[in-house]
Amino acid sequence: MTKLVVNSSEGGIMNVLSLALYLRIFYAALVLIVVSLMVFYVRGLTTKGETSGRLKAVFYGWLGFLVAVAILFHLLTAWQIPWVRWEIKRAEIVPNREFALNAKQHRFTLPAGGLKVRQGEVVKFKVTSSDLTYGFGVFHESGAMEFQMQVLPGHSNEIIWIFKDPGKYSIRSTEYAGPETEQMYLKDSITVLSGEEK
Amino acid sequence: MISLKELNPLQKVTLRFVVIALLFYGLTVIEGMMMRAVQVNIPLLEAEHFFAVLNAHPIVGIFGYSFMLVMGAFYFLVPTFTKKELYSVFLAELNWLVMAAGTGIVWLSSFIFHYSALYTNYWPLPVIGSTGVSLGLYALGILLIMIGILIFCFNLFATVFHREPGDKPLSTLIISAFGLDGFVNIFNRFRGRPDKVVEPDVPLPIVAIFRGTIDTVLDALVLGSVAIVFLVYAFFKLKGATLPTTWLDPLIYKNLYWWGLDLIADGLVLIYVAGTWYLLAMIITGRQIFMQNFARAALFVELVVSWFVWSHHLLSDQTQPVMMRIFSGEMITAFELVTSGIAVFLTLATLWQARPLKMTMPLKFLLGGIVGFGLGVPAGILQADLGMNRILHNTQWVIGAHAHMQILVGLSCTLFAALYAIFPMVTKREVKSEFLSNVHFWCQMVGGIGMSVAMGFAGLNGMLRRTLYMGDPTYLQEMYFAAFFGTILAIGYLVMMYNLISTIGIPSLISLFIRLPWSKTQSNIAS
Repeated sequence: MTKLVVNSSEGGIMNVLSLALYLRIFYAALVLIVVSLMVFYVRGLTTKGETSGRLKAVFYGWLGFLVAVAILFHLLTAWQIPWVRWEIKRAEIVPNREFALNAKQHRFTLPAGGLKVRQGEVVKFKVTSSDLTYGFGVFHESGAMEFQMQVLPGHSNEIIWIFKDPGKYSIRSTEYAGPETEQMYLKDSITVLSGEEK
Repeated sequence: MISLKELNPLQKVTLRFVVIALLFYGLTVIEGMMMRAVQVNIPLLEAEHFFAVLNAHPIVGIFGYSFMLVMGAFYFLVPTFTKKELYSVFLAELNWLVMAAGTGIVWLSSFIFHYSALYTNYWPLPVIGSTGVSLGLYALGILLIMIGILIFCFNLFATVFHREPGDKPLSTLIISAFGLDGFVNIFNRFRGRPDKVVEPDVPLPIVAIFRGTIDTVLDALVLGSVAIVFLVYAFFKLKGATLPTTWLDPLIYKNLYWWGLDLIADGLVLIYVAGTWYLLAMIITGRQIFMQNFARAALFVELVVSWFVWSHHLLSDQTQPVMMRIFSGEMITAFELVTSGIAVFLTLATLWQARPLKMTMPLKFLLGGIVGFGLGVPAGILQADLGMNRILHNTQWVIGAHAHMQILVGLSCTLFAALYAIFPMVTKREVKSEFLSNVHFWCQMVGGIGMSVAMGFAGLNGMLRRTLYMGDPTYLQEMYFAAFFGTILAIGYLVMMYNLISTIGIPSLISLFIRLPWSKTQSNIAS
């Protein structure tokens, strides 16, 4: 099988923090638009007026719009969000670095030597569970999520990632596995060095 | 106040469902506010107790409140709309008892015995992380609920398909109930021919109820089977033996479990809601639904779509085949935007054609429900994407911007619209105070949207669901907003209950369930 080499600019321009910012703007706009449209509609509904004979045409237009959004949305994210490509091509990607972690009795076991990577490196995380279904989430110091995946027992759960921002990252289980899951939090357990840093 | 003597058995059983459902809603609100307090760092609950409450919260909310309110409304509306007798009032009475008992037992298993594998029940947490008693009680409660759901479905099927001599054949009714007549008419119009079915045999709202009921049966069979597996494990746990957990593969289990569970969220809820919107629009305007052939056809598409979308819950499961995640999780799921959008448009267009309309309570809540789905469905489609899901899965976005927006604003407002519409039909009384009904409406809208949006923003900032952050101030600001709007929601509930109770009267309310010693004279006084 031909192995694929990727780099940080592969597959699109989006990074996690800018995506979260766009989502905040989009969501605020969505709430305002939907509520405003309803206020506008209610004003019309309570006043007498002629119903447009083109209501059927409006319906077909609406139908077309919905179908277009449903299809184009996923095409857009596949084009602009690089980790979609990393996921689809995961088996073929050659990582620069590979880490194996295990979760058991509500504790993560990290590899000896810790988790130190360089900004822009292709990293593969291989996480296994010896008992329950857990999650493997990586978080920025601000609390924003960098990425996450599910960790199922009896399976090898793998993810390819490229860190675009240097700094300290924390690991937390993103799946509930009983009240003890709270203790599955490893603060600043991943160090991402910038290109120049030694 | 209401005299129970004035009510027929169907009205009484409807009212029983409504009362129990609203009491369970109150319990859900209390649980929600307890957890809200913990989320703003008030140490009201220990971790073990917090997650036990979190375990009970959705079960009581979905089955005790939403399902029972839907059942009560449909038990009344289906016979009324089809002009048939309900197949069995006795089964309906048994139905609310079984549902209430099941929900109560699940609540006990959580609140007293601390069962806390949550409604997701990811294998093998339920059998490893609980005692034999708590697991057994939880499974028994779920099993009872599923039996209650099957009783409901049987009773409705038997009512819709009951035929008197001279009625149309069963096959005609089934074709109409599936909405296939809508497809035939659309096909004929494309060929320039007149409609084949001018007067459908099954009214549109009943078509929706029938379709939703198919998903309901499938969901009950899956969740009931899982409950039986839990019961077996609980039995051996109680005997001191431990069965191996390797009998089930976590990924296959997760697929099967989510297939069944998702039929609620992405199947019957959306279909029942669309049916209720159509029903209310028809009642409010006195007209047929605009382009009803499309509405009938869309309901059938929604039914089929609902069977193939479960993989959006497994987008972050790296061992789930990528093709399943893309087709089932992304592409087919995205078509829920289309089917929901059709229901929104056709309902609004039907109302628009009848303008000017007076803003009655059912109409206000109906439009509120549409706003809720207008916000909740796009949020759900957004997270059902391989790229977006990487940073949204299991965050507060999923449970806030999507789930709570759909349940508290979309579904609840739709149910309250139906409640305010059928209340006078069932009780022969108008709700006492329109002012208080309006207070309830605005609290539900402002509180529901505000809380869901605050949770959504917390999710976008990285806050997880099902996670405690005691002493961690990272997401405190969003949680203060959520608690504030949650309080408004709770006030709305109290106002609604006061309004309804003062309309019905406490003695009448109690005597709905218990024969009071003075009930003979009480009913006279009440009238």
